[in-house]
Amino acid sequence: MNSIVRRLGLSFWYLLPANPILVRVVHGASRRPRHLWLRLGYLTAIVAVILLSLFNPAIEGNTSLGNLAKAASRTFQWASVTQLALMCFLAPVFTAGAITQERDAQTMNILLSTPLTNAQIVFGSLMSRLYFVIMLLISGLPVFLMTMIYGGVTASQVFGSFALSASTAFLTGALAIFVAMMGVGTRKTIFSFYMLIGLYLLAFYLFGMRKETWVGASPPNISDQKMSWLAPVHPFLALEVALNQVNAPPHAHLTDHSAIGRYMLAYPSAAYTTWTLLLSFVMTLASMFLVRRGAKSGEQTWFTRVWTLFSRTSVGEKTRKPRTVWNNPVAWREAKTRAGGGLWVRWAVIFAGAIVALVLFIGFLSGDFTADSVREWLAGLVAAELGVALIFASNTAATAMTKEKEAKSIDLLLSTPLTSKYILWGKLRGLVSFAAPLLMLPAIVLLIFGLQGLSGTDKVRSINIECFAELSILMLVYTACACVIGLKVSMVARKNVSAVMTSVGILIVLCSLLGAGATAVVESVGGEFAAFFAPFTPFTAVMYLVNPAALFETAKEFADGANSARAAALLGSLVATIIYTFIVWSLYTNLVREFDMTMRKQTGT
Amino acid sequence: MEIQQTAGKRNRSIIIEECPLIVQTINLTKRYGKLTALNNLQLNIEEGESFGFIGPNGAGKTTTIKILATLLQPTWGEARICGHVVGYESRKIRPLIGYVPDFFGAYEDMVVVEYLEFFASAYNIAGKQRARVVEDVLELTDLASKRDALVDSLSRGMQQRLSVARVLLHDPKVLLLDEPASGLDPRARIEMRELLKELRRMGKTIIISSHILPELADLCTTVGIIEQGQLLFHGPIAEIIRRVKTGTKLHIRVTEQQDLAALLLQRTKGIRAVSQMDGKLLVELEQPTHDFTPIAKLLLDNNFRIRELHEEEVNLETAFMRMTKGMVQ
Repeated sequence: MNSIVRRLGLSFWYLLPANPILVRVVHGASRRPRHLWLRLGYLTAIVAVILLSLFNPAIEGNTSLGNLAKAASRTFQWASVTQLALMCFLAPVFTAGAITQERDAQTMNILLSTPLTNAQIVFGSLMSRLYFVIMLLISGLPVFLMTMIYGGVTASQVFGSFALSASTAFLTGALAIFVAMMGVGTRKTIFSFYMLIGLYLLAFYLFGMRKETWVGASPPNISDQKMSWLAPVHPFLALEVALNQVNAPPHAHLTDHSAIGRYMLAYPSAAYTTWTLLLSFVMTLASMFLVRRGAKSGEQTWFTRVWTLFSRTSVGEKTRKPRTVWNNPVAWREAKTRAGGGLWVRWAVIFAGAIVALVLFIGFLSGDFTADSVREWLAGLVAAELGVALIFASNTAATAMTKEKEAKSIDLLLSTPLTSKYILWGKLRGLVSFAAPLLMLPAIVLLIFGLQGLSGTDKVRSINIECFAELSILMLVYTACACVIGLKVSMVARKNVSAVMTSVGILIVLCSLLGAGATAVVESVGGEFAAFFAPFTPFTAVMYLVNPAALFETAKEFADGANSARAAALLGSLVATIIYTFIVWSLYTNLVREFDMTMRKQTGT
Repeated sequence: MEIQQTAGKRNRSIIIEECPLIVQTINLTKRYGKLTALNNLQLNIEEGESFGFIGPNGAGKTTTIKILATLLQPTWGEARICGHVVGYESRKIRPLIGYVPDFFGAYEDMVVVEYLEFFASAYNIAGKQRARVVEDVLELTDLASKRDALVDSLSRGMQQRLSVARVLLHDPKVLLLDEPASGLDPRARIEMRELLKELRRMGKTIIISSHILPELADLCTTVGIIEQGQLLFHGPIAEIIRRVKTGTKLHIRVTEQQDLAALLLQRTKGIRAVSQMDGKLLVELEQPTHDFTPIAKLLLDNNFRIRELHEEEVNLETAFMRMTKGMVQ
């Protein structure tokens, strides 16, 4: 009996604490300044949110215990949301490396030839990636516990919030390891990985906000909002329940659901944690079986037999009909050869947008949709398409130079007579061409609705025709701006992953800050000035140029000021276009100036 | 148009007249922090010359080639190509050179023709001329059958061939080849060597670095041996062999009593030293000679039966081993 216990103990010891992969990563990477800065940034963000929420005029001068408890509760809510958001952003950053790292460093085969077991390899890889995420969570725990001092926050809420964050991190890590062990991971997979997680979180959250997804048995909160049935599968929706912002339906009221359904809807936070951990465990187990699948490469399986029936790929050399290379080869390469798997995603987004627009147009003509609701839907559609275009542009631009550096093709380019100005202009032109199809759809949709508006009366007009011209040009300059920022990051960074993360991070922060600031200004001012100001940030431009009625408090005010608001919006669009063009031009000329120095410095070593 | 072309030719001829050396480095020095990769390198390479650059890893070969390819700026000194100074007139130099690095700079999702057209376009070759040039280099490098193949699915040998095709697009004067045969299988290596010989026959100036010395001996007219950033030798291969060959060395093997044979030879006039190595006698003569009859006769007269007697071969490999100390930075 003792020997069994001893063996089990030793197995566990070598599986995790003494796992050489884990020890190597923890020893090596924990000393890196990058990780120190990340930890510092994480804690700073949480502390900043807590401090900001403490500066509340409502509790100043009225420091009753009840008020303090309320303030602590609100602070905890803000901190929890920030923690989960940061976790959703940072967990993929730390775990995505698993997808390509072993393959890039060509160390996988070396690992497989050692006496390490499959479990040691998989758990070592997983835990070495999750170690930093867990450390981040633990480092933030004292900050959260401080909010319990004033009451209003219970230990179970803190535990629930941490469980949601940790289980999300586990799921992300297990998914990354699973993809890595499947052996299908490439650098493109990393971007798809981020996009998938981001789209899942955003789309399901927006969907969960719609009344159609609300559970009838759920008691409404103060804002009349009920819990969505998506809460058990979405961390932010589950967190709202854990923080008592939304009420879960009582278990006893869910009689028309199965036992599992009842549990999931009544305890969404616990359900989310349970299924994510279970799925993580299953994927980790599956990864253990897949670790050595490379040993059977080339052998026929039922899957490969089915696959070869449908796929056109052949072993060895692959051929394709050549395309015509443009006179600017750099622009051609960016626009035509960078699409790869992204091409399908791009066309899928365009196709989905076209379907929504078609349904909307038919619904509007048949009277199923009112002009107001069409404007809201149109604004949402254009914002979504623009958001995807900006992320695509930023991601592609971020890898424009790093990809050349990683493939070492930059040396070939630099030894040709192409000047830095020519290379960068080619890159920028190619990148905008790459994103152009994504911008074409909203432009065409706006044109169609605008033309329909010209033929209709004021009552049935959905949008004004100038909205098409304004937004078409604005979307182009916003995208050019995202591209030039991505290029700037790409020139300095050495690796694709860090370039993409930095570039997309900058884009998200800029859009969020500018959008939040501009929305506050536009909503507080309203009227013609707001119409002039709205085009200065991407999302206020879309929201208020498509739907200018939202700038006015009442329909009468809108009717009185519609023409002057249209003129102000046109002027604002013109000024915003000039400003963004100037920003793009300044950044571009700056890039040209720095190109030789930066690139040659990096390639020379 | 005709006037412009003439003027262009005149300009080029003026440059070459002024500077008969197509590649020249003067006190070329490159430092990476405290590490001196190149130390006062002096190179003079004439037009049409095939120059083999040899040295241990980290000796400074790639750094030199990268400077000549305008990818690096020297810390000190000067490198000139056709009279143009690297770093100051790089834009004039780039059309004159073709650089093949020691790796294949792969572009994903590009087929062979697109890859070549991409670079032809980068060298400002447009329209029908571009298509013609691409077809020409495909023929020359024997890649015509691979025109629709994706470049990243090609074998290493074919990729290296494609690299050479790429640098021929703009008909450069100087080819800078950094380890073009590294990682190639024997057949691909032989084919690459034949291709480079063909380019030499076309009058291209070739600067090639390689670790495969017999191939360099076969291809190059001159060689440069570099170690720790310093040029130890620069000249024709025959000259380097002559320089390291200080006397005549013979390898002798007798059927039995080798020790006695060694004693006999040591006492013989005209023999500087005798040593034993790998079951053979290594006999160093005082004077260079090609007539070994007296030594053979001496051994036979003393009842030794000779199994082997030949002069030690001095080739590029032995010359390299004798000149370098195997020191890396």
